[in-house]
Amino acid sequence: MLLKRKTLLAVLLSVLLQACALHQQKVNSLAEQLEHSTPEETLISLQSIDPAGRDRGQYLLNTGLLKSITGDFEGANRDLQEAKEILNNLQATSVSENLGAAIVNETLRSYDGSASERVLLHVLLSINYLMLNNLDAARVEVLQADVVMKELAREEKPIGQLASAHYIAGLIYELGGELDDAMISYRKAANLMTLRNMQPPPALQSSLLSLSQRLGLDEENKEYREQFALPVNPDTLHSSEIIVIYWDGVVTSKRGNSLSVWVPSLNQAVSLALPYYPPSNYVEDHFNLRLADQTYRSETVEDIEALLREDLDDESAAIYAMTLARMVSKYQIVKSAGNENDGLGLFINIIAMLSESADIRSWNMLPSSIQFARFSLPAGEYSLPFPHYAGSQQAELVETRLAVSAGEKIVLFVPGVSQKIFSYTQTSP
Amino acid sequence: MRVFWVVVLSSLLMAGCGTKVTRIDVDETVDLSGAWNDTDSRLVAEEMISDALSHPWTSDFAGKKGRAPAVIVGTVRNFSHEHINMNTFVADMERALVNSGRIEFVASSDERGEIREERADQDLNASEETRNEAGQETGADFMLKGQINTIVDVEDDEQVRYYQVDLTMISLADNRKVWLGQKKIKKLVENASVRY
Repeated sequence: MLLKRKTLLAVLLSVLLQACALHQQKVNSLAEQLEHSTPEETLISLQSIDPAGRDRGQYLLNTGLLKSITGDFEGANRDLQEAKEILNNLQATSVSENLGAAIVNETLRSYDGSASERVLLHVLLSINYLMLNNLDAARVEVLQADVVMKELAREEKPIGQLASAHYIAGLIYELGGELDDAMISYRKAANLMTLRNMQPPPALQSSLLSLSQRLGLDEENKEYREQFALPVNPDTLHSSEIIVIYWDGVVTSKRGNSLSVWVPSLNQAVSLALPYYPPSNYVEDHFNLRLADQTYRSETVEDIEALLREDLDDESAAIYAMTLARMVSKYQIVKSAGNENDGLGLFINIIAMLSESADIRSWNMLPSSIQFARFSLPAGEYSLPFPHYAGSQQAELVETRLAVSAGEKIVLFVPGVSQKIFSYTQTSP
Repeated sequence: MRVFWVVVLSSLLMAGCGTKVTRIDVDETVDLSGAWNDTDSRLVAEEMISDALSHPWTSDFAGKKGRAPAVIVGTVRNFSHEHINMNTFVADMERALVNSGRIEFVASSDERGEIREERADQDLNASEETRNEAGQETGADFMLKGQINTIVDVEDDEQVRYYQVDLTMISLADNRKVWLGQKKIKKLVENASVRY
């Protein structure tokens, strides 16, 4: 009777875990198809999946992102704010989830996001609020991103420190007229890029040059002029400034590496599974905007592919330690079952092998890179390559034209996979 | 063996706890996350308005004009680290000011549009005895403006959150600042490093 109950429980557990693994593979497959499908279709498919409670954070990050790039900024913010609350509440170490991970597998933990994902959540929220014409709320998100980055800061490596988060922060401060804070954020963005061996792109160079000039930081401005070979901007009184935030590609999903071997000395089959990122197939593309007989090109500030690999590398020591602990605990469980009954031992050994599964969850619908462009444009009306939606409650189709008035600052958000352009126009200089 | 199954099943079922709702008094202070909450909003509004009314600008105005000053709420901006519902904060302040009986309030610029639309509609559709004419609005004498700022210091699982609310009453006649109010709140938030 007892044997039957245990067998039933083992089968049930195995089925449950297999269902979870299949669900995650479906999410990964949707993310991989995002570039060849539409975000609207992907969102419908994703919403048809009922995620387990512990995967809700990941689910909301993806639905929030898809809603953002389709222009449903209100809906996106609802999902992303809920995801933020979930992720924040999960930062404390869970005793029960660690036990589950030490005995069954890592997917029994609630999804709490990697270091960079936690910061990118605020970055996306700040863009969404900006597109909803709510500069104050966007400012709240960049302040929160700053707090998260301070929490994550370590001396030895820049885990969770994002140049794009600082650049967006600088932009939002600048739009709000807080030039001192904007300058500090732009400097932080440039320092992080240098730390990661990346050259600050023209958008960041232009921001540093222009602000150091406006703030009267003559020495710093002189240094930037010597360092960056940028053309002098035309008179901004008769022109406007366009800032483009371009999201390129879709980041690679995690995969799992599994290994099962029969160990004669233990008289057991031992298995282990570890997550990894396969080599990236991402080929960097740029947003080329041809306006007034000139082409403006976005350049990368954040290589998300590299960031997420950096995060996984940083987590790997803990993952290996937990995998080792799990191997030992599974060995002990199978051994004690085998001592009770040979058949039960073999059966539990099979269940232990089947239950071994790598945690391949990630915010896998993020772009592969975040790029920016910044340039001046004379007042006028311009044709855009994609449909243009002006920020409102539910982004509203305007047309493929962009009207630009003198002295305005216009932020264009261009998610490459949705081929749409959303805009925010600074209402008061 | 038994321990194994107990642990596995407990881990799987841990998330399945039910929701419990308890009604509490609206004045009761409940600090859950350490973020700005209804108690902060109400207490700051009440204390700042009580400070505003204890200063002589209202009596000076009433002495000169022979009536209570009319105040309009301008922008109260949120420069904090949190999404604060400024509407409830502004409503708390309006209520405290109006209930003092020493100040009259006029509709804000957002509210005026709807009222004017209604008046225009009355002009066409309401009877002459009940119709309210245009051009009879009370102009505000003072505008209340302000902002909420925060400084957050973080170390491991601890945060110190410092809130500073600044309000200014500005005379619309001559741009004089007749009252400057400031309220500070400091909270130490200790996040659990372990959960069950």
